[in-house]
Amino acid sequence: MHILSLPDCVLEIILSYLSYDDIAKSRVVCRKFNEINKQALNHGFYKLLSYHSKHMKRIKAMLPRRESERRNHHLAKHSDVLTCIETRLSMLSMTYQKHIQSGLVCFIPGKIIDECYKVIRSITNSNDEEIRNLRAHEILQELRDISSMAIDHFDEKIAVDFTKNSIEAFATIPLAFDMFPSTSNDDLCSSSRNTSSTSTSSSSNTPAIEPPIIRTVRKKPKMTNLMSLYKKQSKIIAAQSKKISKMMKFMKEQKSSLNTLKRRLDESEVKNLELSERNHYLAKHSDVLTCIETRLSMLSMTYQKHMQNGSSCFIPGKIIDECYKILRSISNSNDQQIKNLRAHEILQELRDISSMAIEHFDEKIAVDLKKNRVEPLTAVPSVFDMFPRGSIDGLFSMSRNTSCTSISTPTTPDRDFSSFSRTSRKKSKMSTLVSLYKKQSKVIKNQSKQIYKMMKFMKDQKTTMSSMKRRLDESEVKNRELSESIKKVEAKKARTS
Amino acid sequence: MQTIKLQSSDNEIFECDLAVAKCSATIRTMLEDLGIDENSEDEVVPLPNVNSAILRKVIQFCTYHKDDPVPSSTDDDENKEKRTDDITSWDADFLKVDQGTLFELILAANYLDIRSLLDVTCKTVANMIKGKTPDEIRKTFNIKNDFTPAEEEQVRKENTWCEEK
Repeated sequence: MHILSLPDCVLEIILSYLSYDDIAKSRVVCRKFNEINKQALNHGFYKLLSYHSKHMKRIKAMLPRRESERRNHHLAKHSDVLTCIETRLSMLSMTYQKHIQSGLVCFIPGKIIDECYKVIRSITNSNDEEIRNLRAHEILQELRDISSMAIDHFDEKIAVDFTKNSIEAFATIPLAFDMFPSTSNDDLCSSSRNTSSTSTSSSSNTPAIEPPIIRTVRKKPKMTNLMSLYKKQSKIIAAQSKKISKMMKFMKEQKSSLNTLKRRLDESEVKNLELSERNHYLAKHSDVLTCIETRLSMLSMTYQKHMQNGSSCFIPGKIIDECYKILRSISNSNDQQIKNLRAHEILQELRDISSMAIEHFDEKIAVDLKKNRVEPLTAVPSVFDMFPRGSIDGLFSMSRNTSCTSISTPTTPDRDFSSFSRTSRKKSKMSTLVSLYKKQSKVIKNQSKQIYKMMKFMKDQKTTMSSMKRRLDESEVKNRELSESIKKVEAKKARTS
Repeated sequence: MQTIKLQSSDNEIFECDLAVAKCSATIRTMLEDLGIDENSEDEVVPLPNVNSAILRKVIQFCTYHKDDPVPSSTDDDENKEKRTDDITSWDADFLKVDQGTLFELILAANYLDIRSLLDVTCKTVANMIKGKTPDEIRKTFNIKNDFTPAEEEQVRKENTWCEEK
């Protein structure tokens, strides 16, 4: 009896008692271990995602709606930590998920799963007092470090090989379309015309039984050829639609993580602002403007495209009022007043209501708008559905019928005519099929274009995200430096006094 | 006390308490579904996947644990940290057997659906893997490294992300 002869389900139970780090490290033992451990890692990552989102939802439901009130809530730190984990997780899924789905790789950094569970467990198990004294920065340090390490390593060392392969696979899709050039459509039509004319002419003499049979038989392969190509196309369309919807989902995720990043950046910048307020009295005016700018760009990201579509207006008018109010108040105040200005207070209301508006729009309004946008896309397969599979058989039986009638129809002119009308009906079926085919080809081309655009867009998003991450890190570092220098100054003051 | 007869794959018949046999969810459902009369003395339950040596061990384990409370598994349990350092000394002594027997016990526990035995045996195996290098794991379980050099290099490369410089 050998460990490798145990069934997979038992091996999975054994692995469930190991840390994900151990699982990742023991992949290299042998092929079977690698296979099972890869699955366990992927499963573990998805389980973590769902566990985290459930937990996050529960905590968020307990927090007040206004951001400024949230900050003083006893769960604020808890939710901060969860938000930070969320950002990290979404960055990780952005890096790994598409490769996991294509089966190229598993969720390599098992250690990160362990660390996330450790952090979440530690904050859920600690009481209110402990959470109040919690140092979010310290508790998250390790997670931040290792997740960045993993992502950098993946992008630099591992993904380089995959992107090459995936681009090649992508390029082969249009080729499937080229297999069936547009000229052969005419060929098919003419051939069907030929056969129909011969069958009508032959049906006038009784003994001419054989020719129609042979012709229909010969025509059939053409039909089946067309059918199989048609099916192939439909498959391509379905696959592409799936890909597009996946990408849309992915882009949505990216957008939400972008939003959270922006919000965090904004918060950190505000903190920076406050800290520098104590050191320098200059440039406060521009700081306020920067903060308003961040808010405005968040708002335009949310509303602008819908406004351009005409599907929505700029709903939160109150925000416009508030912005004008702030701008007026700072431009009308003199230097002394600006010196004493509390940027935090003056911006508080704007921050609150803009976040409320954006969240409300994303959760309640954009959902409906998005649905409408997805519908034209899902309508694509219905072009194919217009021509159900049953009717493919119908077409064949039709051609069989016509040949039968043309055999059985001797000289009677009525019958002769009826057979003619049937063949012409068949012809029209063929031409509808061909036109459907052409439509499909167009759809495929459009989809390919769309996919290409989306890929580009996603790439852009990724670069913005990484730049934002860098800015966030920088700003956090600055924060720390500032607070340290303030501490020093205060200590000096205490000593001199 | 009611008893039941169990027949191993090598046709040895074991007589044990009904309560002990019912530690196995497989036997429990078998009795319920087939409606085997608990009073009929001659009824024998055949267990073609378990040999007599292993069945003896399983009955020994179940006899010791027959009064343990049945743990209820909830959704929260799924995400609880799984410990492997909570094996009782009796269980540890019970599982001081060679690897072949241990794996056969796992198979039997899986087939008979005895949760507590499956858990403790899997924990024992997990402890044999924990903290070991891949090479040590191969030695422990006598596993042959069947990777091609290129494949092994790929896996190793993927795992280098957390190495300190």
